[in-house]
Amino acid sequence: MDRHTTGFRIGWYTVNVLIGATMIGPFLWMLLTAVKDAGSVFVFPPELLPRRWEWSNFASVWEAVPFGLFYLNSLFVGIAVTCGQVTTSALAAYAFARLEFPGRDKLFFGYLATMMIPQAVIMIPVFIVLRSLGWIDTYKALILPSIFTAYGTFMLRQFFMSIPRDLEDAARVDGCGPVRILRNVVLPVSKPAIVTLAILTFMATWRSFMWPRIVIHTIEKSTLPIGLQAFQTLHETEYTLLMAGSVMAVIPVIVVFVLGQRAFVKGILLGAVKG
Amino acid sequence: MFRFGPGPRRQAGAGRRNRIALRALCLAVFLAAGCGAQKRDSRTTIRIICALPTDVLPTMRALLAEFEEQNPDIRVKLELGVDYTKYQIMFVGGVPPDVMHFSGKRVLSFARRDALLNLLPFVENDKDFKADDFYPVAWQGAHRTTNTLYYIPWEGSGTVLYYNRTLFDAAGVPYPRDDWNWQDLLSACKRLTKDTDNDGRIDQAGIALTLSICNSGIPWVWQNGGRIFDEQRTHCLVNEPAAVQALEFFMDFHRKYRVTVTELSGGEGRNRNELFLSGKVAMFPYLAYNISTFSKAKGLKWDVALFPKGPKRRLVRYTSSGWVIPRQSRHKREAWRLVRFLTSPDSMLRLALAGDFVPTRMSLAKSNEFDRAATPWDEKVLVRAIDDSRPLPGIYRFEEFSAIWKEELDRVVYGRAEVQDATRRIVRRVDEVLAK
Amino acid sequence: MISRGKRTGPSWRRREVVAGYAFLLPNFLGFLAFVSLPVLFSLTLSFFEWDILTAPHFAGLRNYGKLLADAKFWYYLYNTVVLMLAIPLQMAASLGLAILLDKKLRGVVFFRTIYFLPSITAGVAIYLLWMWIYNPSFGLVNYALSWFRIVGPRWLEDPAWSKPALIIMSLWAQMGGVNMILYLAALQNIPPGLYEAAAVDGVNAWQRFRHITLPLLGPTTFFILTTNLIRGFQGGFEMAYIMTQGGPAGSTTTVSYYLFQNAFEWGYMGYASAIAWVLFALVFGVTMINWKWGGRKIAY
Repeated sequence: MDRHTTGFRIGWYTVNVLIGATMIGPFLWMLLTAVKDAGSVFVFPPELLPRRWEWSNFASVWEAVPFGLFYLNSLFVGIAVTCGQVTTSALAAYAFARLEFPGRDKLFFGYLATMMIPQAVIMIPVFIVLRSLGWIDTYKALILPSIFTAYGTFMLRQFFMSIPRDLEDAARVDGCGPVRILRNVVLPVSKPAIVTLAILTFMATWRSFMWPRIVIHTIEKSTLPIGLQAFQTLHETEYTLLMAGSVMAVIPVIVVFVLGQRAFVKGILLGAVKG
Repeated sequence: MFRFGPGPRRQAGAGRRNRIALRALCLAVFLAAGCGAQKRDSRTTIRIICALPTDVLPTMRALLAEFEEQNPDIRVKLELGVDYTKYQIMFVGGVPPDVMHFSGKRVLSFARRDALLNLLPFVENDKDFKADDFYPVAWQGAHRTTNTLYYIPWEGSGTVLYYNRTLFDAAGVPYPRDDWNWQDLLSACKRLTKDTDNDGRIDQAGIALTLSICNSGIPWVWQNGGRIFDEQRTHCLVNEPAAVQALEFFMDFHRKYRVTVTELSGGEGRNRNELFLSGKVAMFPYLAYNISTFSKAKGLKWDVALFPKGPKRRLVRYTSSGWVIPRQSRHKREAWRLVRFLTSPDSMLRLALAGDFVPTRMSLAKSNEFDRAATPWDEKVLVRAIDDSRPLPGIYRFEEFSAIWKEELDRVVYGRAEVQDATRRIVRRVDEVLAK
Repeated sequence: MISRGKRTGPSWRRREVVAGYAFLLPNFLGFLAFVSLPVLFSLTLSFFEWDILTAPHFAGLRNYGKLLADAKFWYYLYNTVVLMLAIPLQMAASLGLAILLDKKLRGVVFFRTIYFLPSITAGVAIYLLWMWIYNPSFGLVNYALSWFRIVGPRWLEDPAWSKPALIIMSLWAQMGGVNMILYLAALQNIPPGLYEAAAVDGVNAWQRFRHITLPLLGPTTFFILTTNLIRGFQGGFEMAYIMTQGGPAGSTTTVSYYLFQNAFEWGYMGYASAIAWVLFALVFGVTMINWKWGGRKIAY
């Protein structure tokens, strides 16, 4: 139904194009700076296009720091944390949502209460403990502490509680135990929520900076954010290289997002509406 | 919405299989990563971390390869990037590398916290080390005492004045000379600061000064006969008249005469190199570290001169960098062998020539190999600058001191405070810090 | 392979209890190890002075006393709150964008994707980019200002402009992000019938917005505000670390950055823990206030 006048449409598209340009502009600038040669960026007024297309900047970045390794590390840690979070949270959430056992509600309230505690409070003691275990600068130190947050448990519990009980009751009548009910009945139905939790956890782990910064000290184990920051230390004012590195850090994320954005948006909506 | 019967089962089966497979994969990779680090290598692996310009890296790697050849029981892993925050975290985390590249002025605070290994026993028991070949000022900057030495410097220089010949020629100003004093510097600056396109803003500045960093300001205080701390390092004396006077003059380059790069809308500290390279600033006081960068700039005609002397004397800052071994290192002997190798005359000279640093061994600095005729700049100036130089005062809490200095003088730079107030506040805050 | 369990009764009860604890166990153990015990440890630590390399000293309430008297802390708290002013701006912008995109015109999905890009790429790369954009001599912002014959300030190098610079940057980065999507969903949940009825009654567009849209968006607004407040108090670390190192003149140091400096740069673990607990108290207090106040506003 065409409720909008042509005038309105023109106006609407104009506004959106302008806003869109503001959003994309900086990325374009990042890309353009990344292909300029070092001397030509320090001019005023800034030149839009490179005088010489210095594609070798990307190669320089790749040689200077093990960028591929950063990606692998971030992927590995992200997947490990996500798997851990989802599994342990799903189990615990089901216990809180459907199973009756003494102390259940008090325990859950304890979980809730910790959600408001800043990461900073927990960071220092966990660091001290990991240090005494000799686990500083290991993957274990990156992965394990991030798996156990109350958020995942909370979110899945709310979701599980919103599923009608008929299916589970039917399975119970059939003689299924709690494990089978969870596995075969509840989880398949909860796919959207689980996918959402997985996406959110992965994203949060991918971009987490403070904890890896504190715990990882060698460049081989660096994740992308701290790898990029280490690169910044090496080339503090060489903006062409810094922008080349940023481009390399950002492009794959954009590509993945653009390809999967429908699923992504659906996930967020689900997470918020149910949670 | 919900399907009964085989539907959920099959989905559940497939979904479950996928999740199990994924988890197994994770576990496998996890274990592999965790255990994979242990290679079956009978050599001791030591880690060294340093910050070297890209063109010195080949020399460093070659040296490390030679070291491994001469010491077949040691394997060296090189890591790049000196970042003192990261260093702190490494110490706190208990896993620092075995040899670390340190700047001289940072050594004391780490040494006092018991983080560094005392190298004096190694040095004294080593007949070939020739500690007397080092500049005394280098040892001073290393805080060497009768029983402790935490750091072996391998390169160090005093502040010199870089200047752009083309800009001097264009303005008809004679090049800086040995007998320049503060007034000569100022008048040259005035003549070299220009608004070339008449838009009311300067496009060319006389001198690149970083006004609020203590490294820049302290030598001005010295040259006016002022002191930063007392002998025992328990009181800050920056609000004494000589120091205040020096700082006022220093700040006036920006506040009154407007001849510094601060006028070029930015450049406070971070972009000084780029501004000098693009011919926007005529003079640039700094250590020897820029020789390499500037020498690669095509078309830039520049040279170095001694930094102008102050009313009371000539005294510039001496800064060095070198090697430390953390106390937490598990391979101290091997680490020392590497340090010794890197500070031997041959290695030191090769590294110095590769990066245009000034070596800390006097025999090398004054040798003909170092003073090359082919270079457009005058190495002798670099060497002579060391004669009237002094390291920055060594105090335990150097980082806090320099943070306080910067905060207070930033206010002066932005016109929010007077030097007198700023120094008074610096003294008050620093005395508190020193008292801890 | 159907097991012969009864559908109710004591054996089911027992299985349920066992399963309950068993399911909970992995999560709970990890939770204990990495959340609850550290919380207690942190509280204890705040009553000590410890730099890890030497032995700890008991300090009683001295850390808290020092904290209350620490002018720098209050200044950094002020910085944190000022930076949080970005939150209402962001929320308004997100709402605006959501309203803009809440149309059935072609290209909605395209624009939505574009607007989301900055938030998906947030992080070190974006901070580096904006450092470059804000460069006083050669950056885009001052260049754009020079078109209007305005001499731009030194942005990240000027204490007066550093926080506004960061606020603008975070506006750009977040306005088309998750919040916009949430508002979009909420907007689409409002039955159009309400608007039509109001239009028939002669209510104009602005009044429709104020009296229909806004109240119905209440729960979403509340959710967004709460989560952003909690995050806001703890934020600013990455920005400060990458872009300004807390400067100039401490103007971009937030509470979390100060905490990091104390714990990991200067080794004052006890003091840092005290800061963390004061931070928690603030977050808790503000969340409670928001809950009470927000709760009243939503229930209409």
